[in-house]
Amino acid sequence: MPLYTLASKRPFSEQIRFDIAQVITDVHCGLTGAPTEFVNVVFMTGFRMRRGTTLGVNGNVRMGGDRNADLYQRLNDQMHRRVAEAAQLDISRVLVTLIGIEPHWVVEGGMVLPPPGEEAGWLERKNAVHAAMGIGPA
Amino acid sequence: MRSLIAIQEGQISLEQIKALEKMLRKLYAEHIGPEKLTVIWNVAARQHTITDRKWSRSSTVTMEVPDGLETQRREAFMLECEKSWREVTGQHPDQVSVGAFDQSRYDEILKSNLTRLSTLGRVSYLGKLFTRAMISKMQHGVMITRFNQ
Repeated sequence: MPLYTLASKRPFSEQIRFDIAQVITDVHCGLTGAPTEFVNVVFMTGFRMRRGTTLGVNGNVRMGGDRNADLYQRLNDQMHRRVAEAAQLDISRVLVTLIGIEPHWVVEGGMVLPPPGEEAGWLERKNAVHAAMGIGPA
Repeated sequence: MRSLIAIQEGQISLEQIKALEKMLRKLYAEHIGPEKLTVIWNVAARQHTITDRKWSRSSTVTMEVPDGLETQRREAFMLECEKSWREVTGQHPDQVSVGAFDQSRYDEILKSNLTRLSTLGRVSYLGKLFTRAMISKMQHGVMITRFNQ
């Protein structure tokens, strides 16, 4: 979490998919402070999109903690603009929708996710737990 | 209740999928309740999923639970699912995400996924999803479909 799913009719090239995912990671982590390892991006193809839309981006993102409505608005705006650039599409062809999810509704890395803003301590605890279990980096 | 699971092409065998689904149904019944759980597996084509800036080997399990489920019960359920999942697949903990979402929010997410499609697109997508899932169910006993159609 976040999980961004991107739906389009035709597949983007491998390089463009990779570039879009980097941009999503940059924007999400740059604005929210979330670690990059949290960011998942899935490309889905073969979908007939709504009129005027070429790429539909849906993001399920953690809510609460140090995040507020202003941050979600900026996240939406920047995601919209930067993804359109990376996808080489006019901004009007991209649709971005964000849905907030309670952090304690998701387990990753073997632990319940922390509220936004408490990632550093969570990562330390997670790494310590993994080390104690003899588990190295993925 | 519904469960959508995203996995990577060629990563998890059919036998593992069957074992995982059996495990999830058992844990759901034990922790959440006797409601019927409809499980749909979505396979992502190679190089179509990215985690932490790299092509992904991750699996994402999402499940619908009753609105307002107690935190302790929800967390115990997710943690046991995650641990049991890794026992079957051998994946690293960082490669497994398990979510138990309130039913109303899950509904919102699924509706939002459809909103980006045209009316024809929704009908076409749901038709393909249903057909593929049913064929897979008849052939393999589990409902498997694909993100990339």
